[in-house]
Amino acid sequence: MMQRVLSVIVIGLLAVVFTRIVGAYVQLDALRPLAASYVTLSPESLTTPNVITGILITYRGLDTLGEVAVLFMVAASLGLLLKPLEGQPKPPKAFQRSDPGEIVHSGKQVMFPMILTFGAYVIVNGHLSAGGGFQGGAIVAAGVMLLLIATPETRLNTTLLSIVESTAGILFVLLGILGIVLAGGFLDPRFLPAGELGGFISAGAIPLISALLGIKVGAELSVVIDKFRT
Amino acid sequence: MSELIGSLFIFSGSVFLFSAGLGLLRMPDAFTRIQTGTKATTMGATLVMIGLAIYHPDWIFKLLLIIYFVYVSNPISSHALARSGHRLGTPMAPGPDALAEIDTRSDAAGDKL
Amino acid sequence: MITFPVSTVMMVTGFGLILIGLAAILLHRNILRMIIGFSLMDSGIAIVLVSLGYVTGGTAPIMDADLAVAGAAQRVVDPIPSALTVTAIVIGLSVTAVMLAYAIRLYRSHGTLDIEAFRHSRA
Repeated sequence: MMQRVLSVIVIGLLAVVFTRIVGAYVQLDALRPLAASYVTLSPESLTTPNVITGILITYRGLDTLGEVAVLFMVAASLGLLLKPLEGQPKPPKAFQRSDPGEIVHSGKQVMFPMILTFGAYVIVNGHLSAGGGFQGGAIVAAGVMLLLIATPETRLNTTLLSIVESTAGILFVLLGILGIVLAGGFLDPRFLPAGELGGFISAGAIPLISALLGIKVGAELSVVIDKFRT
Repeated sequence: MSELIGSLFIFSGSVFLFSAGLGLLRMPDAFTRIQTGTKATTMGATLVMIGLAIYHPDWIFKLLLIIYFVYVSNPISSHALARSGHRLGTPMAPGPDALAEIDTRSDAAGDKL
Repeated sequence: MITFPVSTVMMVTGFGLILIGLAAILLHRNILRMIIGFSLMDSGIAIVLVSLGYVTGGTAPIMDADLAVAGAAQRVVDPIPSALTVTAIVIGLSVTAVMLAYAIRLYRSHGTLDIEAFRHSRA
């Protein structure tokens, strides 16, 4: 009882703090100088019409490297936590893998190619329009989850997926080091030719980096989803 | 004129979506809630897309693709949820169980309910 | 004519979601409901971050057929908070996955999802 009263008091005080923050907020009228410089530099020197992809991969490339490392750590720790132990009782009969039926199976056959195509489209379109590596990788993993639900007897080749994920990560770091050697700094994409603005092959090494990120995130999330099956 | 008709379609779509939310709160058990959520949201999303298509006629192809995808995915996911809920023995509101002879309901320990 | 205060409405929504998520964490006893509360807090923080970058009358910072390159800096919203939000969403997903794995392990060892059962450690 006392704990609930204390919780309500804490939430009330936090609401007071938030109200003061919202009250003191004034909507911006013009871009801040750093953002204005990113918006003007991105189509000129990086040849990317999508400013957010330019920020994620080049100007804040070290944040992306940290995010890749966090995803890898999470996949490894989930493999450790969810290892099936010997001596555990088998799960009750109602929870074992059962076939969800013909409707879901037919729906999977229609939707799974569509979802994979859409995921590949989002990954490849990262430097031209809204999209990018992380977003497309998450869509591919959602398609794999649909496959695992509809046909529970599929066995994903987790060894192959882990090898693909690690290779994509190594190639990502190698491209970053190539940026140090051949161009300005870590993950600087200007060592490949920058085509014209808006062309399919443009923006230096950004499409390559985006595709590697998408493959890595897709394979990683598929392995994570597969580990959650009892 | 097309703006007025498009806005009317979007408004009726939003009425359907609101009724889906209302049904989620007021329905007695899980299966009726799943049914309300699916039917009303699919209809609401379709009407909003049709209203947008009348408002911007050059987006018609993309909007038809989105409507097709919503029709393929929404009923199938609700069917999968309801079927697995029935198998696990989710409490049902009083009334005849039409699936009783096809699919045995069992509780968590595997005994027949 | 009063311009609609888009960013203030979004900020209030985001902060409201954070408060609701915090209430779910503090006031429930089932672990899965607490994990849903954490997920609500992640969504709320993402909305607040994106709403901080709104410039009055601005549009998305993607230069395609509708937005010319020259003079774009006067007509786009701030791209930096949006880029940081992408990272934040991915990290939130990873943290939710680890929390769910811990919930599965706790259920396997104790047989219940109530946090009162975990309060006293086994000697």
